[in-house]
Amino acid sequence: MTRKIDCEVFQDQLDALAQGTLSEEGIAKLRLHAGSCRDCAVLLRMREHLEGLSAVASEAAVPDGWVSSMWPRVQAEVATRESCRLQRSLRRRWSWPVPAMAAATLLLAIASGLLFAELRRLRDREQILVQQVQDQQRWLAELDVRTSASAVARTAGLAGTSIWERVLANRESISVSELSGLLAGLPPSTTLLSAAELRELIRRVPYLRTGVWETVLTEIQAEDGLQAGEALRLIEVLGLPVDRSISMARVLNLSRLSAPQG
Amino acid sequence: MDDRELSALAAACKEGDERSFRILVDSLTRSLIAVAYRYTGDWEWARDLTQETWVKVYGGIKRFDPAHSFRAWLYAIHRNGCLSHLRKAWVRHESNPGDDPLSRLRPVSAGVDPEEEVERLEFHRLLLRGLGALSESQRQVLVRVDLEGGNQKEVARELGMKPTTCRATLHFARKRLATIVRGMEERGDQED
Repeated sequence: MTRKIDCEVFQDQLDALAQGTLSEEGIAKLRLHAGSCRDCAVLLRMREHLEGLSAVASEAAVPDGWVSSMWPRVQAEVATRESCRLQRSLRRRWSWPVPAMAAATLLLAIASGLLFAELRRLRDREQILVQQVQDQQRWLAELDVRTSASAVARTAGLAGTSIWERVLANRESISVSELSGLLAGLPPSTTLLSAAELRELIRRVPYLRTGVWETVLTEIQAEDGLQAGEALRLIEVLGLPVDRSISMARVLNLSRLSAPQG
Repeated sequence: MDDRELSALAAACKEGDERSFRILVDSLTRSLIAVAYRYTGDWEWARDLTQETWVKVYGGIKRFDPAHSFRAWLYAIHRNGCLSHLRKAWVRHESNPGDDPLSRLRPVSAGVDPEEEVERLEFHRLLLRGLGALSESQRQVLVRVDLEGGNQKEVARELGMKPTTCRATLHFARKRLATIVRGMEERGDQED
Protein backbone atom coordinates (compact mmCIF):
# COMPACT_ATOMS: atom_id res chain seq x y z
CA MET A 1 0.00 0.00 0.00
CA THR A 2 2.85 2.30 0.94
CA ARG A 3 4.56 1.50 -2.34
CA LYS A 4 1.44 2.42 -4.30
CA ILE A 5 1.19 5.78 -2.57
CA ASP A 6 4.86 6.35 -3.23
CA CYS A 7 4.38 5.57 -6.92
CA GLU A 8 1.52 8.05 -7.25
CA VAL A 9 3.51 10.74 -5.44
CA PHE A 10 6.51 9.89 -7.60
CA GLN A 11 4.52 10.31 -10.79
CA ASP A 12 2.97 13.57 -9.61
CA GLN A 13 6.41 14.97 -8.87
CA LEU A 14 7.96 13.60 -12.04
CA ASP A 15 7.81 16.78 -14.12
CA ALA A 16 9.33 18.81 -11.31
CA LEU A 17 12.06 16.20 -10.81
CA ALA A 18 12.92 15.98 -14.50
CA GLN A 19 12.99 19.78 -14.86
CA GLY A 20 15.15 20.13 -11.74
CA THR A 21 12.71 22.30 -9.85
CA LEU A 22 12.33 19.89 -6.93
CA SER A 23 14.10 20.43 -3.61
CA GLU A 24 17.21 18.39 -2.78
CA GLU A 25 15.31 16.51 -0.11
CA GLY A 26 12.41 15.73 -2.46
CA ILE A 27 14.82 14.57 -5.16
CA ALA A 28 16.57 12.24 -2.72
CA LYS A 29 13.26 10.67 -1.66
CA LEU A 30 12.11 10.15 -5.22
CA ARG A 31 15.44 8.71 -6.38
CA LEU A 32 15.32 6.37 -3.41
CA HIS A 33 11.88 5.23 -4.57
CA ALA A 34 13.09 4.84 -8.17
CA GLY A 35 15.86 2.60 -6.87
CA SER A 36 13.34 0.23 -5.34
CA CYS A 37 10.57 0.38 -7.99
CA ARG A 38 11.39 -0.76 -11.50
CA ASP A 39 8.30 0.81 -13.08
CA CYS A 40 9.08 4.21 -11.63
CA ALA A 41 12.77 3.80 -12.51
CA VAL A 42 11.90 3.35 -16.18
CA LEU A 43 9.48 6.26 -15.98
CA LEU A 44 12.19 8.48 -14.55
CA ARG A 45 14.75 7.36 -17.09
CA MET A 46 12.26 8.01 -19.87
CA ARG A 47 11.43 11.49 -18.62
CA GLU A 48 15.09 12.38 -18.16
CA HIS A 49 15.87 11.11 -21.63
CA LEU A 50 13.09 13.17 -23.18
CA GLU A 51 14.04 16.24 -21.20
CA GLY A 52 17.60 15.75 -22.42
CA LEU A 53 16.27 16.32 -25.90
CA SER A 54 15.12 19.82 -24.95
CA ALA A 55 14.77 22.22 -27.79
CA VAL A 56 17.52 24.59 -26.74
CA ALA A 57 20.08 21.87 -26.19
CA SER A 58 19.27 20.21 -29.52
CA GLU A 59 19.37 23.41 -31.55
CA ALA A 60 22.66 24.34 -29.96
CA ALA A 61 24.05 20.96 -30.93
CA VAL A 62 23.28 21.42 -34.61
CA PRO A 63 26.54 22.30 -36.39
CA ASP A 64 26.63 25.56 -38.34
CA GLY A 65 27.89 23.69 -41.37
CA TRP A 66 24.68 21.67 -41.52
CA VAL A 67 22.64 24.84 -41.61
CA SER A 68 24.71 26.54 -44.30
CA SER A 69 24.87 23.40 -46.44
CA MET A 70 21.12 22.80 -46.33
CA TRP A 71 20.19 25.14 -49.19
CA PRO A 72 22.71 23.59 -51.69
CA ARG A 73 21.52 20.14 -50.64
CA VAL A 74 17.89 21.11 -51.22
CA GLN A 75 18.75 22.61 -54.61
CA ALA A 76 20.66 19.48 -55.66
CA GLU A 77 17.81 17.22 -54.49
CA VAL A 78 15.21 19.31 -56.31
CA ALA A 79 17.31 19.20 -59.51
CA THR A 80 17.76 15.43 -59.23
CA ARG A 81 14.04 14.84 -58.73
CA GLU A 82 13.18 17.17 -61.60
CA SER A 83 15.57 15.23 -63.84
CA CYS A 84 14.03 11.91 -62.74
CA ARG A 85 10.56 13.32 -63.32
CA LEU A 86 11.51 14.36 -66.88
CA GLN A 87 13.00 10.95 -67.58
CA ARG A 88 9.86 9.25 -66.27
CA SER A 89 7.77 11.54 -68.41
CA LEU A 90 9.83 10.69 -71.50
CA ARG A 91 9.65 7.00 -70.71
CA ARG A 92 5.88 7.29 -70.28
CA ARG A 93 5.63 9.10 -73.62
CA TRP A 94 7.41 6.24 -75.39
CA SER A 95 5.98 3.57 -73.21
CA TRP A 96 2.95 2.74 -75.37
CA PRO A 97 4.25 2.78 -79.00
CA VAL A 98 6.95 0.21 -78.35
CA PRO A 99 4.63 -2.43 -76.83
CA ALA A 100 2.03 -1.59 -79.48
CA MET A 101 4.54 -2.18 -82.28
CA ALA A 102 5.73 -5.35 -80.62
CA ALA A 103 2.14 -6.57 -80.34
CA ALA A 104 1.46 -5.68 -84.01
CA THR A 105 4.60 -7.55 -85.11
CA LEU A 106 3.56 -10.54 -83.06
CA LEU A 107 0.07 -10.52 -84.55
CA LEU A 108 1.54 -10.23 -88.06
CA ALA A 109 3.82 -13.18 -87.39
CA ILE A 110 0.92 -15.26 -86.08
CA ALA A 111 -1.29 -14.31 -89.07
CA SER A 112 1.52 -15.20 -91.50
CA GLY A 113 2.03 -18.50 -89.76
CA LEU A 114 -1.68 -19.31 -89.98
CA LEU A 115 -1.76 -18.29 -93.65
CA PHE A 116 1.23 -20.47 -94.53
CA ALA A 117 -0.24 -23.37 -92.56
CA GLU A 118 -3.50 -23.04 -94.50
CA LEU A 119 -1.63 -22.91 -97.81
CA ARG A 120 0.35 -25.98 -96.84
CA ARG A 121 -2.85 -27.79 -95.90
CA LEU A 122 -4.47 -26.90 -99.25
CA ARG A 123 -1.37 -28.04 -101.13
CA ASP A 124 -1.42 -31.38 -99.30
CA ARG A 125 -5.12 -31.75 -100.06
CA GLU A 126 -4.46 -30.99 -103.71
CA GLN A 127 -1.77 -33.65 -103.85
CA ILE A 128 -4.14 -36.17 -102.29
CA LEU A 129 -6.83 -35.32 -104.86
CA VAL A 130 -4.32 -35.58 -107.73
CA GLN A 131 -3.25 -38.95 -106.38
CA GLN A 132 -6.89 -40.08 -106.15
CA VAL A 133 -7.56 -38.96 -109.74
CA GLN A 134 -4.47 -40.83 -110.92
CA ASP A 135 -5.60 -43.93 -109.01
CA GLN A 136 -9.07 -43.67 -110.56
CA GLN A 137 -7.61 -43.30 -114.03
CA ARG A 138 -5.32 -46.27 -113.49
CA TRP A 139 -8.23 -48.33 -112.18
CA LEU A 140 -10.38 -47.35 -115.16
CA ALA A 141 -7.58 -48.33 -117.51
CA GLU A 142 -7.35 -51.71 -115.79
CA LEU A 143 -11.13 -52.03 -116.05
CA ASP A 144 -10.89 -51.42 -119.81
CA VAL A 145 -8.38 -54.23 -120.07
CA ARG A 146 -10.65 -56.54 -118.09
CA THR A 147 -13.59 -55.78 -120.35
CA SER A 148 -11.56 -56.81 -123.43
CA ALA A 149 -12.54 -60.02 -125.22
CA SER A 150 -10.60 -62.47 -123.10
CA ALA A 151 -12.10 -61.21 -119.86
CA VAL A 152 -15.64 -60.64 -121.04
CA ALA A 153 -16.91 -63.96 -119.82
CA ARG A 154 -15.50 -63.61 -116.29
CA THR A 155 -16.94 -60.16 -115.99
CA ALA A 156 -20.22 -61.25 -117.48
CA GLY A 157 -20.45 -64.31 -115.22
CA LEU A 158 -20.20 -62.14 -112.18
CA ALA A 159 -22.72 -59.67 -113.48
CA GLY A 160 -25.90 -61.73 -112.93
CA THR A 161 -28.86 -62.40 -115.18
CA SER A 162 -28.38 -59.50 -117.60
CA ILE A 163 -24.87 -60.57 -118.60
CA TRP A 164 -25.78 -61.17 -122.23
CA GLU A 165 -27.36 -57.79 -122.68
CA ARG A 166 -24.50 -55.85 -121.12
CA VAL A 167 -21.44 -57.76 -122.28
CA LEU A 168 -22.51 -59.12 -125.62
CA ALA A 169 -24.93 -56.38 -126.60
CA ASN A 170 -22.93 -55.28 -129.63
CA ARG A 171 -22.65 -58.77 -131.03
CA GLU A 172 -25.13 -60.14 -133.58
CA SER A 173 -24.25 -63.76 -132.97
CA ILE A 174 -21.96 -65.99 -131.00
CA SER A 175 -20.52 -69.33 -132.04
CA VAL A 176 -20.75 -72.46 -129.93
CA SER A 177 -16.96 -72.51 -129.61
CA GLU A 178 -16.95 -68.89 -128.43
CA LEU A 179 -19.72 -69.64 -125.97
CA SER A 180 -17.81 -72.70 -124.74
CA GLY A 181 -14.68 -70.56 -124.41
CA LEU A 182 -16.54 -67.95 -122.45
CA LEU A 183 -18.07 -70.57 -120.13
CA ALA A 184 -14.72 -72.31 -119.70
CA GLY A 185 -13.24 -68.98 -118.55
CA LEU A 186 -15.69 -68.86 -115.68
CA PRO A 187 -15.35 -70.77 -112.41
CA PRO A 188 -17.58 -73.88 -112.83
CA SER A 189 -19.73 -72.94 -109.84
CA THR A 190 -20.60 -69.53 -111.24
CA THR A 191 -24.37 -69.31 -111.31
CA LEU A 192 -25.62 -68.22 -114.71
CA LEU A 193 -29.30 -68.71 -113.95
CA SER A 194 -30.75 -69.05 -110.49
CA ALA A 195 -33.24 -71.85 -109.75
CA ALA A 196 -36.13 -69.38 -110.00
CA GLU A 197 -34.87 -68.01 -113.29
CA LEU A 198 -34.42 -71.51 -114.69
CA ARG A 199 -37.91 -72.59 -113.54
CA GLU A 200 -39.32 -69.46 -115.12
CA LEU A 201 -37.47 -70.22 -118.34
CA ILE A 202 -38.80 -73.80 -118.38
CA ARG A 203 -42.29 -72.60 -117.63
CA ARG A 204 -42.23 -70.08 -120.46
CA VAL A 205 -40.49 -72.26 -123.06
CA PRO A 206 -42.75 -75.32 -123.47
CA TYR A 207 -40.38 -77.53 -125.43
CA LEU A 208 -37.92 -77.52 -122.53
CA ARG A 209 -40.47 -79.62 -120.70
CA THR A 210 -40.44 -82.38 -123.30
CA GLY A 211 -38.22 -85.17 -124.59
CA VAL A 212 -34.52 -84.90 -124.27
CA TRP A 213 -34.65 -81.58 -122.45
CA GLU A 214 -36.33 -83.21 -119.49
CA THR A 215 -33.43 -85.67 -119.29
CA VAL A 216 -30.91 -82.89 -119.78
CA LEU A 217 -32.44 -80.76 -117.05
CA THR A 218 -32.48 -83.73 -114.74
CA GLU A 219 -28.85 -84.33 -115.65
CA ILE A 220 -27.79 -80.86 -114.75
CA GLN A 221 -29.82 -80.88 -111.55
CA ALA A 222 -31.90 -77.85 -112.48
CA GLU A 223 -33.22 -77.48 -108.92
CA ASP A 224 -30.27 -75.31 -107.92
CA GLY A 225 -30.18 -73.27 -111.12
CA LEU A 226 -27.66 -73.38 -113.96
CA GLN A 227 -23.93 -73.10 -113.23
CA ALA A 228 -21.19 -72.44 -115.78
CA GLY A 229 -19.84 -76.01 -115.52
CA GLU A 230 -23.33 -77.43 -116.10
CA ALA A 231 -23.82 -75.17 -119.12
CA LEU A 232 -20.62 -76.54 -120.63
CA ARG A 233 -21.78 -80.10 -120.01
CA LEU A 234 -25.15 -79.18 -121.49
CA ILE A 235 -23.43 -78.07 -124.72
CA GLU A 236 -21.56 -81.37 -124.84
CA VAL A 237 -24.74 -83.41 -124.12
CA LEU A 238 -26.62 -81.59 -126.86
CA GLY A 239 -23.69 -82.29 -129.21
CA LEU A 240 -23.83 -78.88 -130.85
CA PRO A 241 -21.28 -78.31 -133.66
CA VAL A 242 -18.51 -75.96 -132.54
CA ASP A 243 -18.87 -73.66 -135.52
CA ARG A 244 -22.58 -73.29 -135.13
CA SER A 245 -23.60 -69.69 -134.79
CA ILE A 246 -26.20 -68.78 -132.25
CA SER A 247 -28.09 -65.54 -132.82
CA MET A 248 -27.60 -63.05 -130.03
CA ALA A 249 -31.27 -62.22 -130.37
CA ARG A 250 -32.10 -65.77 -129.28
CA VAL A 251 -29.65 -65.66 -126.42
CA LEU A 252 -31.01 -62.31 -125.23
CA ASN A 253 -34.55 -63.52 -125.66
CA LEU A 254 -33.80 -66.55 -123.46
CA SER A 255 -32.22 -64.20 -120.94
CA ARG A 256 -35.32 -62.02 -120.82
CA LEU A 257 -37.58 -65.03 -120.61
CA SER A 258 -35.66 -66.30 -117.57
CA ALA A 259 -36.15 -63.01 -115.72
CA PRO A 260 -38.94 -63.41 -113.14
CA GLN A 261 -41.99 -61.40 -114.07
CA GLY A 262 -42.73 -58.47 -111.79
CA MET B 1 12.32 36.45 -37.34
CA ASP B 2 8.62 36.72 -36.48
CA ASP B 3 5.69 34.98 -38.15
CA ARG B 4 4.76 38.02 -40.28
CA GLU B 5 8.26 38.31 -41.74
CA LEU B 6 8.38 34.61 -42.45
CA SER B 7 5.00 34.69 -44.19
CA ALA B 8 6.12 37.67 -46.31
CA LEU B 9 9.23 35.76 -47.39
CA ALA B 10 7.10 32.73 -48.19
CA ALA B 11 4.78 34.91 -50.29
CA ALA B 12 7.84 36.12 -52.23
CA CYS B 13 8.91 32.49 -52.73
CA LYS B 14 5.49 31.79 -54.12
CA GLU B 15 6.21 34.43 -56.79
CA GLY B 16 9.43 32.61 -57.69
CA ASP B 17 11.96 34.48 -55.53
CA GLU B 18 14.61 31.88 -54.72
CA ARG B 19 16.64 34.32 -52.61
CA SER B 20 13.73 34.53 -50.16
CA PHE B 21 13.54 30.76 -50.04
CA ARG B 22 17.21 30.58 -49.15
CA ILE B 23 16.66 33.06 -46.31
CA LEU B 24 13.85 30.85 -44.99
CA VAL B 25 16.08 27.78 -45.17
CA ASP B 26 18.94 29.48 -43.38
CA SER B 27 16.63 30.85 -40.70
CA LEU B 28 14.63 27.74 -39.83
CA THR B 29 16.88 24.75 -40.61
CA ARG B 30 18.49 24.62 -37.16
CA SER B 31 15.11 24.50 -35.44
CA LEU B 32 13.78 21.87 -37.87
CA ILE B 33 16.81 19.62 -37.39
CA ALA B 34 16.38 19.91 -33.62
CA VAL B 35 12.71 18.92 -33.83
CA ALA B 36 13.50 15.99 -36.12
CA TYR B 37 16.26 14.90 -33.76
CA ARG B 38 13.77 14.77 -30.89
CA TYR B 39 11.59 12.51 -33.02
CA THR B 40 14.32 10.22 -34.29
CA GLY B 41 17.16 10.52 -31.77
CA ASP B 42 19.38 10.31 -34.82
CA TRP B 43 21.25 13.34 -36.18
CA GLU B 44 21.73 11.98 -39.67
CA TRP B 45 18.07 11.13 -39.97
CA ALA B 46 17.18 14.52 -38.49
CA ARG B 47 19.24 16.23 -41.19
CA ASP B 48 17.74 14.07 -43.97
CA LEU B 49 14.19 14.58 -42.73
CA THR B 50 14.76 18.34 -42.59
CA GLN B 51 16.10 18.32 -46.15
CA GLU B 52 13.05 16.33 -47.22
CA THR B 53 10.79 18.87 -45.55
CA TRP B 54 12.43 21.72 -47.48
CA VAL B 55 12.14 19.82 -50.75
CA LYS B 56 8.42 19.32 -50.07
CA VAL B 57 7.99 23.00 -49.18
CA TYR B 58 9.86 24.03 -52.37
CA GLY B 59 7.55 21.87 -54.47
CA GLY B 60 4.38 22.91 -52.64
CA ILE B 61 5.00 26.59 -51.96
CA LYS B 62 2.33 27.49 -54.53
CA ARG B 63 -0.24 25.96 -52.20
CA PHE B 64 0.80 28.12 -49.23
CA ASP B 65 -1.78 30.72 -48.23
CA PRO B 66 0.08 33.91 -47.11
CA ALA B 67 -2.93 34.79 -44.93
CA HIS B 68 -1.83 32.00 -42.58
CA SER B 69 1.29 31.40 -40.53
CA PHE B 70 4.18 30.05 -42.61
CA ARG B 71 5.82 28.65 -39.47
CA ALA B 72 2.70 26.62 -38.58
CA TRP B 73 2.42 25.37 -42.19
CA LEU B 74 6.12 24.44 -42.29
CA TYR B 75 6.07 22.64 -38.93
CA ALA B 76 2.92 20.72 -39.89
CA ILE B 77 4.73 19.41 -42.98
CA HIS B 78 7.84 18.64 -40.94
CA ARG B 79 5.89 16.90 -38.18
CA ASN B 80 4.06 14.74 -40.74
CA GLY B 81 7.38 13.78 -42.32
CA CYS B 82 8.84 12.83 -38.93
CA LEU B 83 5.74 10.87 -37.91
CA SER B 84 5.75 9.11 -41.26
CA HIS B 85 9.34 8.13 -40.59
CA LEU B 86 8.37 6.82 -37.15
CA ARG B 87 5.44 4.87 -38.57
CA LYS B 88 7.77 3.13 -41.01
CA ALA B 89 10.03 2.35 -38.08
CA TRP B 90 7.09 0.95 -36.09
CA VAL B 91 6.09 -1.24 -38.98
CA ARG B 92 9.62 -2.46 -39.57
CA HIS B 93 10.36 -2.67 -35.85
CA GLU B 94 13.39 -0.51 -36.28
CA SER B 95 13.55 3.10 -35.31
CA ASN B 96 16.88 3.96 -36.82
CA PRO B 97 18.17 2.33 -39.95
CA GLY B 98 21.94 2.28 -40.25
CA ASP B 99 24.29 -0.48 -39.30
CA ASP B 100 26.81 1.42 -37.29
CA PRO B 101 25.41 3.08 -34.15
CA LEU B 102 28.51 5.25 -33.91
CA SER B 103 27.56 6.94 -37.17
CA ARG B 104 24.60 8.36 -35.30
CA LEU B 105 26.53 10.06 -32.55
CA ARG B 106 25.93 13.70 -31.84
CA PRO B 107 27.72 15.94 -34.32
CA VAL B 108 29.19 17.87 -31.39
CA SER B 109 30.72 15.07 -29.42
CA ALA B 110 33.00 16.95 -27.03
CA GLY B 111 32.56 15.58 -23.56
CA VAL B 112 30.18 12.83 -24.68
CA ASP B 113 31.11 9.25 -23.87
CA PRO B 114 30.55 7.13 -27.04
CA GLU B 115 29.30 4.19 -24.97
CA GLU B 116 26.80 6.38 -23.18
CA GLU B 117 25.75 7.81 -26.51
CA VAL B 118 25.13 4.35 -28.00
CA GLU B 119 23.16 3.38 -24.89
CA ARG B 120 21.14 6.59 -25.19
CA LEU B 121 20.39 5.82 -28.86
CA GLU B 122 19.26 2.31 -28.01
CA PHE B 123 16.97 3.62 -25.31
CA HIS B 124 15.57 6.18 -27.73
CA ARG B 125 14.91 3.36 -30.19
CA LEU B 126 12.91 1.51 -27.52
CA LEU B 127 10.90 4.65 -26.78
CA LEU B 128 10.05 5.11 -30.46
CA ARG B 129 9.02 1.48 -30.79
CA GLY B 130 6.91 1.81 -27.66
CA LEU B 131 5.17 4.84 -29.15
CA GLY B 132 3.80 2.62 -31.87
CA ALA B 133 1.90 0.60 -29.26
CA LEU B 134 0.10 3.61 -27.76
CA SER B 135 -3.39 4.71 -28.75
CA GLU B 136 -3.59 7.50 -31.32
CA SER B 137 -4.61 10.17 -28.79
CA GLN B 138 -1.97 9.09 -26.27
CA ARG B 139 0.69 9.14 -28.98
CA GLN B 140 -0.36 12.57 -30.25
CA VAL B 141 -0.21 14.15 -26.82
CA LEU B 142 3.05 12.48 -25.79
CA VAL B 143 4.77 13.34 -29.08
CA ARG B 144 3.66 16.98 -28.99
CA VAL B 145 4.50 17.54 -25.34
CA ASP B 146 7.44 15.25 -24.57
CA LEU B 147 9.12 14.93 -27.96
CA GLU B 148 8.47 18.39 -29.37
CA GLY B 149 8.62 20.08 -25.97
CA GLY B 150 5.24 21.74 -26.47
CA ASN B 151 3.22 23.48 -23.78
CA GLN B 152 0.42 21.26 -22.46
CA LYS B 153 -2.23 23.97 -22.70
CA GLU B 154 -1.29 24.89 -26.26
CA VAL B 155 -1.17 21.24 -27.29
CA ALA B 156 -4.62 20.70 -25.75
CA ARG B 157 -5.95 23.67 -27.71
CA GLU B 158 -4.35 22.48 -30.98
CA LEU B 159 -5.73 18.96 -30.52
CA GLY B 160 -9.18 20.22 -29.44
CA MET B 161 -8.95 18.74 -25.93
CA LYS B 162 -9.70 20.11 -22.49
CA PRO B 163 -6.44 20.84 -20.59
CA THR B 164 -7.42 18.36 -17.89
CA THR B 165 -8.07 15.67 -20.51
CA CYS B 166 -4.73 16.44 -22.10
CA ARG B 167 -2.96 16.18 -18.75
CA ALA B 168 -4.67 12.86 -17.91
CA THR B 169 -3.94 11.46 -21.37
CA LEU B 170 -0.28 12.43 -21.03
CA HIS B 171 -0.09 10.82 -17.58
CA PHE B 172 -1.47 7.49 -18.79
CA ALA B 173 0.57 7.64 -22.00
CA ARG B 174 3.79 8.01 -20.02
CA LYS B 175 2.84 5.15 -17.66
CA ARG B 176 1.93 2.87 -20.50
CA LEU B 177 5.05 3.74 -22.48
CA ALA B 178 7.21 3.05 -19.42
CA THR B 179 5.55 -0.36 -19.00
CA ILE B 180 6.08 -1.19 -22.67
CA VAL B 181 9.74 -0.08 -22.60
CA ARG B 182 10.38 -2.06 -19.44
CA GLY B 183 8.82 -5.13 -21.05
CA MET B 184 10.99 -4.74 -24.16
CA GLU B 185 14.12 -4.28 -22.05
CA GLU B 186 13.36 -7.43 -20.09
CA ARG B 187 12.78 -9.40 -23.29
CA GLY B 188 16.03 -8.08 -24.71
CA ASP B 189 14.32 -6.36 -27.66
CA GLN B 190 17.23 -3.95 -27.86
CA GLU B 191 19.11 -6.56 -29.81
CA ASP B 192 16.54 -6.64 -32.66
